[in-house]
Amino acid sequence: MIGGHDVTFPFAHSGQRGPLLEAAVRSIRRHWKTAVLEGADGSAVEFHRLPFERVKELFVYRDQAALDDWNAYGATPNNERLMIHLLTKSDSMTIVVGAPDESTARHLLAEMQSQITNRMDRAA
Amino acid sequence: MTPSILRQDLELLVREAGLDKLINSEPRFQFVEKRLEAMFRIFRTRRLRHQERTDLPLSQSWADFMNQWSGNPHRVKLILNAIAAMCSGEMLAMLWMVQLGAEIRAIRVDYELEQRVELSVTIELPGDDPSNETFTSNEIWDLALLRFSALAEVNNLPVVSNFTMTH
Repeated sequence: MIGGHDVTFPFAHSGQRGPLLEAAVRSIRRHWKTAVLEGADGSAVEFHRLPFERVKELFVYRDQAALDDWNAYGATPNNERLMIHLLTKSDSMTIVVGAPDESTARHLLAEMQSQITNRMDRAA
Repeated sequence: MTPSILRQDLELLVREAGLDKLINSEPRFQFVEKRLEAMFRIFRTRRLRHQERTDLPLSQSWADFMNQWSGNPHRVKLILNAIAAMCSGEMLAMLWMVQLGAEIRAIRVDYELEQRVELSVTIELPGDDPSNETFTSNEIWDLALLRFSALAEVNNLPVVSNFTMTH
Protein backbone atom coordinates (compact mmCIF):
# COMPACT_ATOMS: atom_id res chain seq x y z
CA MET A 1 0.00 0.00 0.00
CA ILE A 2 1.56 3.27 -1.08
CA GLY A 3 2.10 5.60 1.85
CA GLY A 4 1.30 2.94 4.45
CA HIS A 5 3.33 2.10 7.53
CA ASP A 6 5.05 -1.31 7.34
CA VAL A 7 5.89 -3.49 10.30
CA THR A 8 7.63 -6.82 9.66
CA PHE A 9 7.48 -9.72 12.11
CA PRO A 10 10.05 -12.50 11.54
CA PHE A 11 8.88 -16.05 12.19
CA ALA A 12 10.72 -18.31 14.61
CA HIS A 13 10.13 -21.18 12.16
CA SER A 14 8.35 -21.70 8.85
CA GLY A 15 5.47 -23.54 10.54
CA GLN A 16 4.28 -20.24 11.97
CA ARG A 17 3.33 -18.78 8.61
CA GLY A 18 -0.28 -19.99 8.35
CA PRO A 19 -1.15 -19.78 12.06
CA LEU A 20 0.27 -16.27 12.50
CA LEU A 21 -1.38 -14.87 9.40
CA GLU A 22 -4.60 -16.35 10.75
CA ALA A 23 -3.86 -14.78 14.15
CA ALA A 24 -3.48 -11.37 12.52
CA VAL A 25 -6.83 -11.70 10.74
CA ARG A 26 -8.47 -12.87 13.98
CA SER A 27 -7.14 -9.81 15.78
CA ILE A 28 -8.53 -7.48 13.12
CA ARG A 29 -11.93 -9.21 13.09
CA ARG A 30 -12.14 -8.80 16.84
CA HIS A 31 -12.46 -5.05 16.23
CA TRP A 32 -13.95 -4.97 12.76
CA LYS A 33 -16.82 -7.43 13.26
CA THR A 34 -18.00 -7.12 9.67
CA ALA A 35 -14.56 -7.13 8.09
CA VAL A 36 -14.34 -8.16 4.44
CA LEU A 37 -11.35 -10.20 3.28
CA GLU A 38 -9.97 -9.86 -0.22
CA GLY A 39 -7.28 -11.96 -1.85
CA ALA A 40 -4.46 -10.68 -4.02
CA ASP A 41 -6.58 -11.38 -7.11
CA GLY A 42 -9.33 -9.08 -5.86
CA SER A 43 -11.80 -11.82 -4.98
CA ALA A 44 -13.67 -11.85 -1.67
CA VAL A 45 -12.79 -14.76 0.61
CA GLU A 46 -14.48 -16.20 3.69
CA PHE A 47 -12.40 -16.65 6.82
CA HIS A 48 -13.29 -20.30 7.36
CA ARG A 49 -12.43 -21.23 3.77
CA LEU A 50 -9.21 -19.24 3.51
CA PRO A 51 -6.14 -21.50 3.13
CA PHE A 52 -3.86 -19.50 5.39
CA GLU A 53 -0.95 -21.83 4.74
CA ARG A 54 -0.88 -20.84 1.07
CA VAL A 55 -1.98 -17.19 1.18
CA LYS A 56 0.80 -14.71 0.46
CA GLU A 57 -1.19 -11.51 0.42
CA LEU A 58 -4.47 -10.43 1.95
CA PHE A 59 -6.44 -7.21 2.26
CA VAL A 60 -8.76 -6.77 5.23
CA TYR A 61 -11.36 -4.00 4.97
CA ARG A 62 -13.41 -2.72 7.90
CA ASP A 63 -16.66 -3.52 6.07
CA GLN A 64 -18.20 -3.71 2.63
CA ALA A 65 -18.53 0.09 2.46
CA ALA A 66 -14.78 0.44 3.00
CA LEU A 67 -14.07 -2.06 0.24
CA ASP A 68 -16.43 -0.21 -2.11
CA ASP A 69 -14.72 3.08 -1.29
CA TRP A 70 -11.28 1.64 -2.00
CA ASN A 71 -12.50 0.15 -5.26
CA ALA A 72 -14.00 3.46 -6.32
CA TYR A 73 -11.31 5.91 -5.26
CA GLY A 74 -8.18 3.96 -4.29
CA ALA A 75 -6.34 5.12 -1.18
CA THR A 76 -7.59 8.43 0.17
CA PRO A 77 -7.07 10.23 3.48
CA ASN A 78 -10.62 9.17 4.39
CA ASN A 79 -10.31 5.45 3.75
CA GLU A 80 -6.65 4.65 4.46
CA ARG A 81 -7.55 3.73 8.04
CA LEU A 82 -10.20 1.30 6.85
CA MET A 83 -7.95 -1.33 5.28
CA ILE A 84 -5.03 -3.41 6.54
CA HIS A 85 -2.70 -5.18 4.13
CA LEU A 86 -1.02 -8.42 5.18
CA LEU A 87 1.86 -10.05 3.31
CA THR A 88 3.72 -13.23 4.18
CA LYS A 89 6.95 -14.80 3.08
CA SER A 90 8.38 -18.08 4.29
CA ASP A 91 10.23 -16.33 7.11
CA SER A 92 8.17 -13.26 7.98
CA MET A 93 4.87 -11.42 7.90
CA THR A 94 4.55 -7.75 7.03
CA ILE A 95 1.59 -5.72 8.22
CA VAL A 96 0.85 -2.52 6.33
CA VAL A 97 -1.51 -0.08 7.99
CA GLY A 98 -2.67 3.32 6.82
CA ALA A 99 -2.56 4.81 10.29
CA PRO A 100 -0.69 2.95 13.05
CA ASP A 101 -2.47 5.01 15.71
CA GLU A 102 -5.91 3.85 14.57
CA SER A 103 -7.50 1.62 17.22
CA THR A 104 -7.70 -1.65 15.26
CA ALA A 105 -4.20 -1.24 13.80
CA ARG A 106 -2.78 -0.40 17.21
CA HIS A 107 -4.35 -3.47 18.80
CA LEU A 108 -3.23 -5.67 15.93
CA LEU A 109 0.38 -4.54 16.10
CA ALA A 110 0.46 -4.89 19.89
CA GLU A 111 -1.07 -8.36 19.75
CA MET A 112 1.30 -9.59 17.06
CA GLN A 113 4.22 -8.14 18.98
CA SER A 114 2.97 -9.98 22.04
CA GLN A 115 2.50 -13.30 20.24
CA ILE A 116 5.59 -13.35 18.09
CA THR A 117 8.39 -11.79 20.09
CA ASN A 118 9.96 -13.81 22.83
CA ARG A 119 8.16 -13.17 26.10
CA MET A 120 11.38 -13.17 28.09
CA ASP A 121 12.81 -10.42 25.87
CA ARG A 122 9.79 -8.27 26.51
CA ALA A 123 9.88 -8.91 30.24
CA ALA A 124 13.58 -8.01 30.57
CA MET B 1 -25.95 -37.90 7.75
CA THR B 2 -22.22 -37.52 8.16
CA PRO B 3 -20.30 -39.18 5.33
CA SER B 4 -18.05 -41.95 6.52
CA ILE B 5 -14.59 -41.11 7.67
CA LEU B 6 -12.12 -42.69 5.29
CA ARG B 7 -9.65 -44.75 7.27
CA GLN B 8 -6.92 -44.39 4.67
CA ASP B 9 -7.15 -40.59 4.84
CA LEU B 10 -7.32 -40.62 8.63
CA GLU B 11 -4.16 -42.71 8.80
CA LEU B 12 -2.43 -40.16 6.58
CA LEU B 13 -3.51 -37.26 8.81
CA VAL B 14 -2.44 -39.08 11.96
CA ARG B 15 0.97 -39.76 10.41
CA GLU B 16 1.41 -36.18 9.18
CA ALA B 17 0.39 -34.86 12.61
CA GLY B 18 3.14 -36.97 14.17
CA LEU B 19 0.65 -38.97 16.21
CA ASP B 20 1.23 -42.36 14.58
CA LYS B 21 3.13 -43.73 17.58
CA LEU B 22 0.15 -42.91 19.80
CA ILE B 23 -2.74 -43.72 17.49
CA ASN B 24 -1.52 -47.07 16.25
CA SER B 25 -4.19 -49.69 16.81
CA GLU B 26 -7.70 -50.49 15.63
CA PRO B 27 -9.39 -49.50 18.93
CA ARG B 28 -7.54 -46.18 18.95
CA PHE B 29 -8.49 -45.37 15.38
CA GLN B 30 -12.08 -46.24 16.23
CA PHE B 31 -11.85 -43.89 19.20
CA VAL B 32 -10.64 -41.06 16.96
CA GLU B 33 -13.41 -41.73 14.45
CA LYS B 34 -16.09 -41.66 17.14
CA ARG B 35 -14.78 -38.39 18.56
CA LEU B 36 -14.71 -36.82 15.10
CA GLU B 37 -18.27 -37.97 14.43
CA ALA B 38 -19.34 -36.50 17.78
CA MET B 39 -17.59 -33.24 16.88
CA PHE B 40 -19.45 -32.99 13.55
CA ARG B 41 -22.77 -33.87 15.21
CA ILE B 42 -22.44 -31.38 18.09
CA PHE B 43 -21.14 -28.69 15.73
CA ARG B 44 -24.32 -28.97 13.68
CA THR B 45 -26.63 -28.98 16.71
CA ARG B 46 -25.00 -25.93 18.28
CA ARG B 47 -24.67 -24.08 14.98
CA LEU B 48 -28.36 -24.51 14.16
CA ARG B 49 -29.32 -22.56 17.28
CA HIS B 50 -27.95 -19.42 15.69
CA GLN B 51 -29.70 -19.66 12.31
CA GLU B 52 -28.70 -16.72 10.09
CA ARG B 53 -26.96 -14.74 12.82
CA THR B 54 -23.57 -16.21 12.03
CA ASP B 55 -21.68 -16.92 8.84
CA LEU B 56 -20.18 -20.15 10.19
CA PRO B 57 -21.08 -23.07 7.92
CA LEU B 58 -24.25 -24.92 8.90
CA SER B 59 -22.50 -28.22 9.25
CA GLN B 60 -19.15 -29.88 8.92
CA SER B 61 -18.22 -33.25 7.52
CA TRP B 62 -15.23 -35.43 6.91
CA ALA B 63 -14.90 -33.85 3.44
CA ASP B 64 -14.74 -30.38 5.01
CA PHE B 65 -12.15 -31.63 7.49
CA MET B 66 -10.01 -32.98 4.66
CA ASN B 67 -10.39 -29.70 2.74
CA GLN B 68 -9.04 -27.84 5.76
CA TRP B 69 -6.05 -30.15 5.77
CA SER B 70 -4.88 -28.83 2.41
CA GLY B 71 -5.01 -25.15 3.34
CA ASN B 72 -4.96 -25.08 7.13
CA PRO B 73 -3.17 -28.19 8.39
CA HIS B 74 -2.59 -26.50 11.76
CA ARG B 75 -6.37 -26.61 12.40
CA VAL B 76 -6.59 -30.32 11.67
CA LYS B 77 -3.48 -31.08 13.73
CA LEU B 78 -5.03 -29.24 16.67
CA ILE B 79 -8.16 -31.39 16.58
CA LEU B 80 -6.21 -34.63 16.28
CA ASN B 81 -3.99 -33.62 19.19
CA ALA B 82 -7.04 -32.67 21.24
CA ILE B 83 -8.57 -36.08 20.53
CA ALA B 84 -5.30 -37.77 21.49
CA ALA B 85 -5.54 -35.80 24.75
CA MET B 86 -9.04 -37.28 25.23
CA CYS B 87 -11.00 -34.05 24.78
CA SER B 88 -14.76 -34.59 24.60
CA GLY B 89 -16.97 -34.15 21.54
CA GLU B 90 -18.44 -31.05 23.18
CA MET B 91 -15.08 -29.33 23.46
CA LEU B 92 -13.96 -30.56 20.04
CA ALA B 93 -17.01 -28.87 18.49
CA MET B 94 -16.09 -25.68 20.34
CA LEU B 95 -12.48 -25.96 19.14
CA TRP B 96 -13.61 -26.44 15.56
CA MET B 97 -15.92 -23.42 15.70
CA VAL B 98 -13.00 -21.37 16.98
CA GLN B 99 -10.83 -22.70 14.16
CA LEU B 100 -13.43 -21.57 11.65
CA GLY B 101 -13.60 -18.04 13.04
CA ALA B 102 -15.39 -17.92 16.39
CA GLU B 103 -13.79 -15.79 19.09
CA ILE B 104 -12.99 -16.97 22.61
CA ARG B 105 -14.88 -14.67 24.98
CA ALA B 106 -14.48 -16.42 28.33
CA ILE B 107 -12.85 -19.49 29.88
CA ARG B 108 -13.81 -20.59 33.37
CA VAL B 109 -12.16 -23.44 35.25
CA ASP B 110 -13.37 -24.74 38.60
CA TYR B 111 -11.27 -27.59 39.93
CA GLU B 112 -10.86 -29.06 43.38
CA LEU B 113 -8.78 -32.11 44.13
CA GLU B 114 -10.86 -35.28 44.09
CA GLN B 115 -14.00 -33.15 44.31
CA ARG B 116 -14.95 -31.55 41.04
CA VAL B 117 -13.87 -30.18 37.73
CA GLU B 118 -15.86 -27.88 35.51
CA LEU B 119 -14.64 -26.23 32.37
CA SER B 120 -16.74 -23.66 30.59
CA VAL B 121 -15.79 -21.92 27.36
CA THR B 122 -17.92 -19.17 25.85
CA ILE B 123 -17.32 -18.26 22.24
CA GLU B 124 -18.74 -15.57 20.01
CA LEU B 125 -19.87 -16.81 16.62
CA PRO B 126 -18.81 -14.48 13.81
CA GLY B 127 -21.27 -12.54 11.69
CA ASP B 128 -23.21 -9.31 11.31
CA ASP B 129 -25.16 -10.13 14.47
CA PRO B 130 -22.63 -11.93 16.73
CA SER B 131 -24.07 -14.30 19.29
CA ASN B 132 -22.51 -16.36 22.06
CA GLU B 133 -22.47 -20.10 22.64
CA THR B 134 -21.21 -21.75 25.82
CA PHE B 135 -19.70 -25.23 26.03
CA THR B 136 -19.22 -26.97 29.36
CA SER B 137 -17.57 -30.16 30.52
CA ASN B 138 -17.03 -32.07 33.75
CA GLU B 139 -14.31 -34.27 32.29
CA ILE B 140 -10.80 -33.73 33.64
CA TRP B 141 -9.30 -34.57 30.25
CA ASP B 142 -10.85 -31.47 28.72
CA LEU B 143 -8.51 -29.29 30.77
CA ALA B 144 -5.86 -30.42 28.27
CA LEU B 145 -7.19 -27.85 25.83
CA LEU B 146 -5.74 -25.09 27.99
CA ARG B 147 -2.31 -26.12 26.79
CA PHE B 148 -3.38 -25.21 23.25
CA SER B 149 -4.25 -21.62 24.22
CA ALA B 150 -2.57 -18.89 22.18
CA LEU B 151 -1.87 -16.20 24.75
CA ALA B 152 -1.26 -12.52 24.20
CA GLU B 153 -1.31 -9.30 26.10
CA VAL B 154 -2.70 -6.09 24.59
CA ASN B 155 -2.42 -2.88 26.60
CA ASN B 156 -1.59 -5.08 29.62
CA LEU B 157 -4.94 -6.85 29.22
CA PRO B 158 -5.22 -10.62 28.70
CA VAL B 159 -6.16 -12.12 25.33
CA VAL B 160 -6.63 -15.79 24.50
CA SER B 161 -6.70 -15.32 20.77
CA ASN B 162 -7.08 -18.91 19.63
CA PHE B 163 -6.49 -22.55 20.37
CA THR B 164 -3.62 -23.67 18.21
CA MET B 165 -0.62 -25.97 17.94
CA THR B 166 1.88 -23.29 16.96
CA HIS B 167 2.60 -20.34 19.19
